[in-house]
Amino acid sequence: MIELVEIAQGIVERGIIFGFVVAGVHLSSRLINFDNVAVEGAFGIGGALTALLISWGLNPWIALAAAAVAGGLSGVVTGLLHTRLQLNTLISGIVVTTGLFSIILVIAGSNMTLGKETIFSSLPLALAPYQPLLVLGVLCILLFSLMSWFLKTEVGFLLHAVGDTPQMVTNVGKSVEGYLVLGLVLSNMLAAISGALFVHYARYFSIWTGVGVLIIGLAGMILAQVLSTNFGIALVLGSIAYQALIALTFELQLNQDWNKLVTATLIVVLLGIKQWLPRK
Amino acid sequence: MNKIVLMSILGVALVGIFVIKRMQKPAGNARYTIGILQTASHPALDAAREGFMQELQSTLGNEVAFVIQNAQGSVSQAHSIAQQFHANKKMNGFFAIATPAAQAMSAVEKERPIIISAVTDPHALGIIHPTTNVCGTKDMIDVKAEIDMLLHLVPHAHHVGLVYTSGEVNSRVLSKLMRKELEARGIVVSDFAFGSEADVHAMVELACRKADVILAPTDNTVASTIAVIAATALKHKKPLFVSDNMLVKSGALAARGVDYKTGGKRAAQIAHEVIVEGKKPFEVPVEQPTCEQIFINQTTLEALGLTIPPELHNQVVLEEKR
Repeated sequence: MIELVEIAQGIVERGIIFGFVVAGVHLSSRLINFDNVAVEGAFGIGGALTALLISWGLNPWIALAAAAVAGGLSGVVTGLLHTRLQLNTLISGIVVTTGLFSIILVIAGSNMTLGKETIFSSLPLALAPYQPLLVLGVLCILLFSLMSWFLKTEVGFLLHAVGDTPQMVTNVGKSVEGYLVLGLVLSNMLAAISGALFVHYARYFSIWTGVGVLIIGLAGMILAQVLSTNFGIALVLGSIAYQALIALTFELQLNQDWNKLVTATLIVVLLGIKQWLPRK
Repeated sequence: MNKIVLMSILGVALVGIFVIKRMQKPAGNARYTIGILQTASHPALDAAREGFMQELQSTLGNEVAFVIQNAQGSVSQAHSIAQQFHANKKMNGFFAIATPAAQAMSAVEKERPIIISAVTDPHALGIIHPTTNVCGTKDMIDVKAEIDMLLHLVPHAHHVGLVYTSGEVNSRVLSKLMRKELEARGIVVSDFAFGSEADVHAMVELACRKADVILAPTDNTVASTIAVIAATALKHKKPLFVSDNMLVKSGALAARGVDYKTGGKRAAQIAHEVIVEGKKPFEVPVEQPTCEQIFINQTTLEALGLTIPPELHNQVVLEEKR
């Protein structure tokens, strides 16, 4: 039984960490209707900057905040490429992710080990095994509440409008482009926070950590929609569900070559079930 | 309401599968169970795994069972697997192949022994310390011997192009050492680093136009794309030296580097010492398997019009292009 609890704990921890990417993907593709490929680069830059700052001996919380800011900046770039240079949404994201690869290499190299403190090493020793879970849980509730509140303010409503009815934004005398950039800043910021948290959690940075993050984000978002299509804690649950599916795939211990197909099939099954549900 | 009922049924079913799979696990009558975490599917890493398993099976027979998992190149999946291994109390030890697997495994497991292989510089990863639970073999090559071989085969070399992946630690560490060694002998060195497999062809074309010898460190992308690299080098009549002996078969001119299978076998002997004989991992230093042989591809050698100098004759193993 202990084994299962440990596995479940790991699934929830990773689920929360990647839940921020899921939230980022949701913000961009559902709210402002922008397929944001730049989350992958933002995730990487968040992790790289965190690794560098912690290795300098900076307070890990400040490192986390700095990572969020760096992610936000990458969102500004993505947004400006789209609004000012009229690049296609996908292309702007691809360009940013591609460019960030080099910046990440310069910042942290291809691999960096954190020997020092992380945000998960601040609680008393008795709680040590549950530290990541506790810290992540609190952080997740805080940030998600903050985002939910923000999306209900006037600015939040206008963000919704950018995706649905851009004309309305213009009608009230606001700039659609400005709100689009704001949406991308938030989206990339969340992805960067996720990347930073993963580095805190794993205690090392690798340039390959970002690989496949976009899929994790998309899959988590789609699974979350089984529960709710609104921004909220459902996104984290979707992310946890995806991590559980991956863990389950490993647990089945089929020939490992089939792992990815099994994961894909499990997602289809889960979404298929949604179709049988009575509609509201 | 229906949603909640359905989701809970699903949740229970999921937990059920976990429980059933866990109960089934006592793998026959094996006394030792070893979890193998491989970073990605790739010939060198597969060879390390096979060498490891063969060696342990030959000494322990049915007493050892393996649980093999592959992270398929994803760091988060490597973590996921490492954590599931950690939760499995029936496992006596772990075998982590290549750097990301070693890092993920040692980040999660702090007590039971972790045997590593195909890791270039474990000390730089901070996983080897006085009370470590990590031991095994690395895949660092003897750079000086490799450069000696290069100059024996191509004495007129004056500009060497290094091809490697910019994002791989092992490649960066090795290419720096190679550059230092070559420059010490008055040879011009240029870097031709690529970001991903997609850039390999263009970058190697460029390297072949600029340099007169191509040299590659142990590198996952080079291993995957060796066919393209070897064909391009041959087209330009440039000798291609690699650091993974297995790649010579695929058309590279020569290598005096790492034999991953030997590394895996040696790691298995270390695993035996630690898991069966009960030595502490920190008592067993990380080893660097040596390579006394030079692997040369005869077809490529003839195509380039080169000959093997007499002083190398007794070290050379000739390989045919498949």
